[in-house]
Amino acid sequence: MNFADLLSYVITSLRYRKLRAYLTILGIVIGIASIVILISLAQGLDASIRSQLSVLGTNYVFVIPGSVGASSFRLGPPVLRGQLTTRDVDAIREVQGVVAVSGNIAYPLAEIEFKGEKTGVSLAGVEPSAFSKFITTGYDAGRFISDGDTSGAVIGWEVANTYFKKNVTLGSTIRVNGHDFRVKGILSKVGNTGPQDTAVYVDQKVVRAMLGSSYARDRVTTIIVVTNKDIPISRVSDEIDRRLQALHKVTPDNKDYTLFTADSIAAQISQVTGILSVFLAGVAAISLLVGGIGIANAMFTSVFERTREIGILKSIGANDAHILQLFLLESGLIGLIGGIVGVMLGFATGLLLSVFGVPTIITPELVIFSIAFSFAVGMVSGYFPAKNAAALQPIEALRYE
Amino acid sequence: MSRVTIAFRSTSDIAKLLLGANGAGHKKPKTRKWFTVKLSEHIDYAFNSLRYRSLRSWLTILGIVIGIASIVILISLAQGLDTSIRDQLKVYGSNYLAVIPGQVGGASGYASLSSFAFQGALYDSDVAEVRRVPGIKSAGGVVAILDGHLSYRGQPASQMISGVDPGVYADFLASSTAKLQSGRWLKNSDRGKIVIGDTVAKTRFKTRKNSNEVRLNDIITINGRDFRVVGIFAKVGSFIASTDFDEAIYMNIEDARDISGATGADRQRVYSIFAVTENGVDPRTVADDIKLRLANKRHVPLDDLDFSIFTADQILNLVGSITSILALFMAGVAAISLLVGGMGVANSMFTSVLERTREIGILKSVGASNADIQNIFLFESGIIGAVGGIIGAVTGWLFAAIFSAFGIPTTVSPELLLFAVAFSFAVGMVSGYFPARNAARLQPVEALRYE
Repeated sequence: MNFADLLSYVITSLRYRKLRAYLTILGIVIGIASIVILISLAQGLDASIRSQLSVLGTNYVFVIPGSVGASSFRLGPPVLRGQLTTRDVDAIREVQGVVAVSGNIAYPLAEIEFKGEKTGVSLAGVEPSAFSKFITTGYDAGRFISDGDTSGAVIGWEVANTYFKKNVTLGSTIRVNGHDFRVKGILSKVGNTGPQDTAVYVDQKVVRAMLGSSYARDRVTTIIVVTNKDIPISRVSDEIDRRLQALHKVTPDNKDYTLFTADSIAAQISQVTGILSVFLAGVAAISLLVGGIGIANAMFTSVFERTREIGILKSIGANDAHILQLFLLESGLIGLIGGIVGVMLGFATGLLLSVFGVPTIITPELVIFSIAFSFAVGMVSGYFPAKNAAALQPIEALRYE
Repeated sequence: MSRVTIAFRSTSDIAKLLLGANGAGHKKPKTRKWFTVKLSEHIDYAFNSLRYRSLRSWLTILGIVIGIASIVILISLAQGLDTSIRDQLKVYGSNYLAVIPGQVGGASGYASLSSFAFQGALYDSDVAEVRRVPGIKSAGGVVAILDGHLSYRGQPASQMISGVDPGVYADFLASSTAKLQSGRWLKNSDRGKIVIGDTVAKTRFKTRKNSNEVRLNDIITINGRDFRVVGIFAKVGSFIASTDFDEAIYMNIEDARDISGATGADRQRVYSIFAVTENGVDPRTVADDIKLRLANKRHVPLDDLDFSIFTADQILNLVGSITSILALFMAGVAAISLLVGGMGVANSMFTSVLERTREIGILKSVGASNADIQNIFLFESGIIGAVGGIIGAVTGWLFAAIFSAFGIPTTVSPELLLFAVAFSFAVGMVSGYFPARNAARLQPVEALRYE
């Protein structure tokens, strides 16, 4: 028997038991479709976060105090060990590939007043000319404040357009913690990626003066580094890491600061979405396991029913391997058809979800993997029934009633 | 060979049972007798036929077992999370409420929570207003310094500092399960004194060479000023409550204002209002009262408040609704496998009906009605579902117990187990409906002729 003969024989036998074949295939369809949908949801989430991140560009490094890792994750405000100083800022400025460094002072719950209305805002003191290089998303109006401008402020899109009854416009005066500032720039809307939309930026010296003696004179809250686009970011961030380790007298596993790059943030997000998609696919795969058991069941029944047929095939010259192939191909085909239909169903559902604004992504790898996997599930499920069939004695099988 | 004998035995068994029932029913109204004896007979018959097709039955049952076990495991994980969060929240007691600036509700509220960009601001005068509400035992402002700069024996650290009204927190701690391991809580007259959490004392200033553990009466420099440690909390060990106890540093609100650099009107600002309610009053009623009074005082409409109130109750409800969504989602994904298992039941029943066409013909020719046949097959599929459900529920329970042993909290409620078994029985019955109807509609003569 060649492969074409085998295939046509198998298809005929499936057609003959239509209802059972359809129900078995449907089990695989559901399993594969749910795997495809859940993985495409997780991948869509990953892609949508990454595209939001890419708004900020890729050539920057954040330095924050404290060691932040998966193990130190906690709810509530951060509890940090160690702190950053202007000496760190100076050391980073020396690193090759660094274009600009800004040591920022955060005043997270500042009071802002505009035309008699008061609310809370996140105030950041920055080094203007250096920090302005970090703003790559543009301005709705105006520009960044220049160095030494202690009475100007740059505000985020949300602060300008949603915080007060009247929109804050270029040139208007806002009062932050009792100090008057003239709005020199309004940032374009960034979206929910960074803190830019809800921030007010002023010169670092002003915030230091506001905090007075309560804030150590050489301290900064965070450091933002803008790097040269032509030099690999990892090289620059590794060098910054080395210098800070020496300055802080810490070992790599005992650091009291954390470096972030666009890459490292994206990698961390991918780790989370990766775990999510493995978990979701795992739970969905349980249904594929049940579908596989269904195939095994259908094949056992099929072997049982066709005992005499097997006897006849063997008596006209089919050997054990032929019978084995015959039944393996039948179960593999059930898996394959289920996989193809399941992928199409998952694809359609994914598209539908995308239309309703839920991001989904279906990669060619996912499609190929799903189909190959369902074929494998079919073959594996069919192995024992096929072996049973192959092991039948021709005479016994012929005599079988 | 054996197949034939068994088939005959079971067929004659059922024929005998059916005839016997008929015979016994001669003198009494038939329908009544039928009804009472029939149920157990149908179940008997269904069991026999399942035993006869042992391999197929077990594989079909296995499909249901896997589906039910995964549902039980995933729901028990979600319920375990719920229980663990509730246990952790117990440390707070139940008679407190907090007022925070800004409207916290929809997604945007949570998003702005994380970036600390609250709309609106609260002041000492708002605290005074809350204090006047009936049912409030005590109320005070809270000032948080998010990145306080600490130094102890020359070792620097950064962390959040909470400036509170000592009297209000004394009332709060009276009903909290948190205790001090040494020293005392702050007094209203205390200035320049702090109470710290267990983790702050033990690990905040630790270096490789020196444990630098903070002890009672030691001095910690915070934002350039010296503070004496007068109390240390015993370890609470709760992940959720860590920032309020193990990782916390408390001082008088006026001290916090001094070291925050706030001047002028900003000194009257509070980051939140914390209040303790009288025993026996419903915190929800008090919260509604506060809402009215503050809205009136701040001249904001009730449907557009610039502050939010949280009661212990609401926080518990929030936790409950989040974990229920989680449980529903997980159970939903796991239920897909039960759907596939149900199709396995349907498939196996269709096959069973096909194989037993002649048997059905014999049964009908000896007097079985359509309803009898339908019931026999419905029970068969129902039994597959129920057996699968029982084994699945036990398996899921075992897995949950193993997870618990490894420190992952799981809760298996009797309701969950009962529901799982009942649900799988229903799945079996529903899956068997169409095959059973097919069987019932067979014409006796056609069925007997079937080869």
